[in-house]
Amino acid sequence: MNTTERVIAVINKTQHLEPGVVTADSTFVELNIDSLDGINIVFALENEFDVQIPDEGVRELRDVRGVVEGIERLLAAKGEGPPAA
Amino acid sequence: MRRVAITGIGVVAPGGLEAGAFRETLTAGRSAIGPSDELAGLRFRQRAAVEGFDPERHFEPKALLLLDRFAQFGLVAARQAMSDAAIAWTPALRDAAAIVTGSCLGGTLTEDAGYQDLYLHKKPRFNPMTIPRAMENAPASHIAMEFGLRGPAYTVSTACASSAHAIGQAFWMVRSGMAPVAIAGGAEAPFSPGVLKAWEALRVVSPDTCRPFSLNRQGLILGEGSAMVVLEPWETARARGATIYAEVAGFGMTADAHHITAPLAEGAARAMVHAMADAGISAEAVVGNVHSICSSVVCVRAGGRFALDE
Repeated sequence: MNTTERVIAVINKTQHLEPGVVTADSTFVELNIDSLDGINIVFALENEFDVQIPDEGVRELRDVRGVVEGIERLLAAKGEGPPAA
Repeated sequence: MRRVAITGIGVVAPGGLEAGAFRETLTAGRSAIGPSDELAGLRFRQRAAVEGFDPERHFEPKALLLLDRFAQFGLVAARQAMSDAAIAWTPALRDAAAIVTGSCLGGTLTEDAGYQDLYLHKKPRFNPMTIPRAMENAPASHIAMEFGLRGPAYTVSTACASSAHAIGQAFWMVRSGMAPVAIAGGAEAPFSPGVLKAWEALRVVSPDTCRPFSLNRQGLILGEGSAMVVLEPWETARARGATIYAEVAGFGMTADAHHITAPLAEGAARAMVHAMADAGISAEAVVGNVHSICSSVVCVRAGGRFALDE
């Protein structure tokens, strides 16, 4: 699985969503994800990717693409995966 | 129904170890929020800690075996408030006096130490005083025992609103005549490693400081301490020549039935409307004299200003 697929899998699992509902283009508003859901997703993402997501980053998250980009930056920073373009 | 006066105040707080010092800190505009080495490794760096509190100055070693830090704060604040009120106690008064305290977490330091013994140090047994030290109503019980007060003594636990709700309950009891006098307030000492990590995980603690109603606010700051007040009928207080600090005129409480951490502005507004109705006063009468308490980051973000506007 690539990063996008793993992020979507984490969101599906924490939000109990059927596969196919969440896409790379989904926004949190569309998915009805509020701030508390967001914190749970961030917690699950930290465990999935073994990264620390800073508070400032969390506040700016609006969509799945933003999450994937953020995770890839954090993975690149700790020397895993390709650096973000 | 009776009018209700506040005739005693006790404080153990980051801004002062008694009411006078605390008042000075407030009026001088000094912040008691500061950095702490105990927060190393956490995403937030600041807290409001009670500095210079020496338990052994206040309690015998044997008594301390039964007192978590939050209960020590509560009992010391209660002693101050009782001494300040200087009530002429009679057996009948002691038999009916009410105690209502608030606490969100109770003896979290005691619990955390127990879990460290169990999980980290693999000790085969717990401190036998863990339950009585950790229970949220420990301060209420210890206040009752120390002063021989045998009326209702209980604790409300409603997160950031616990102490305000406790004072409201005590106020209603004194006003209705159910209790001839009451001591009420709250106590908290939440700086255990486990609780600090849990707050970090909730991502609501400010990386710098706490500034409610400010446009660029970033979250709440955790604090510890206790405050207690003595409530008695206005006429009784006047008759005995007591110092009256304030009158509690009305109290209101509401639930949003909405979200576990994000309050609605209209919920806070409804509580204020209830309080004014309870006091029998109009909104016009209180405009310009509003003291708002809104302790959580989400509360301030969602509620604060808008609730007051309404």
